[in-house]
Amino acid sequence: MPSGAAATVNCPKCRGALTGALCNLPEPVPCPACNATILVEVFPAFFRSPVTGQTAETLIEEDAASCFYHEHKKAVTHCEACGRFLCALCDVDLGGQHLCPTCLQAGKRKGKLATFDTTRTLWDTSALVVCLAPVIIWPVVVVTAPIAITLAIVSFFKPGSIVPRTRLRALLAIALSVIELLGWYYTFFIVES
Amino acid sequence: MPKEAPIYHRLPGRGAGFGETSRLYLADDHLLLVTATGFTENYRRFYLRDIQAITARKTVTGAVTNGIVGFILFWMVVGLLNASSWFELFVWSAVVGFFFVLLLVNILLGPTCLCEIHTAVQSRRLGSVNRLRTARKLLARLRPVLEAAQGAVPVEELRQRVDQARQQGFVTDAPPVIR
Repeated sequence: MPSGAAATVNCPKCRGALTGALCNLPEPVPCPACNATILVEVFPAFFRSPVTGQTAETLIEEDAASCFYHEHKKAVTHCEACGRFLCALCDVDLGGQHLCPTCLQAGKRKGKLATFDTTRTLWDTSALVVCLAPVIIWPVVVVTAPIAITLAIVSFFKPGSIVPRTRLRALLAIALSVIELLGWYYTFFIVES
Repeated sequence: MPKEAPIYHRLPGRGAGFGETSRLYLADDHLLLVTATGFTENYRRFYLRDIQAITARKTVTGAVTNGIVGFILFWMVVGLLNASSWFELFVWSAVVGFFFVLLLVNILLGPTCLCEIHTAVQSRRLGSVNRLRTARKLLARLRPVLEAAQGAVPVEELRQRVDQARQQGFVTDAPPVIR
């Protein structure tokens, strides 16, 4: 949305600069340039100047704590994960949590920092799909149903979606898979014999 | 090291695209755009302190859908009127009913829109917000939350600042004068 050196509020269609009178209105209004019906809500962050990075202070006093990574820089805080002293340069503020770059990297790698989660596998949905999809060629359910049950059980132990979600899919997958297996057994063993 | 997992509240709107669905959630300090693609979910976070603007523009998708469904419905009604047996009458009625409900729902949901969220470094389409009414609901829900996160600024002052930025933008972006 910001354009050029000075940030302007632009029409979402024609990208023409809008006047203040067209912003933060309760109802949509037509853009004076392209006549598209638009709804524009601007927030104070739009006018905030970019945040500049911190600079570490050089250690002057002999007995003052120094940064673990930069011995000549003054420590301003400590890492909440490993306890190492950190200078302003090494202090990573992650949603109010102060971490050192090493712990940040380790947390990201091990998946301990939910903030860095960008994708998750939905084991319960996978179980339900594996259970339901092969029904049209249903004799194969003898193979797919155990897989679906396994996936459903895995979903109870593996981290699933980060948003609220019920266990219904997993339970449904287990129930349907068991029914499929019973149906298969009934058809191929009891009816045949 | 792990902090307590954030509690997410579902925000208005639900979108569906080619093989994916999207929803928007609100946590204490960020918005979470969840795009589910069958077996996986992808997440994109927008921190409340960084959100600069939310825009929506009306699109013609809703009107085009109404036109197409209306056209099909017209021919289905023609078929229904020419039904010669009870069975045909039943089949045509079911089809007409289906398209009628489809048309009615689309009309009741209101005009479609394309909603975008803007931060200093990105502009991202919110796939979950595809009706103007939903966009208004979303803004009504987010306004107080964003005010709390960024500080309340009177609307008049915001508009003045937008005008000032526009003036400044014209001065800065003006093409060079050739003499």
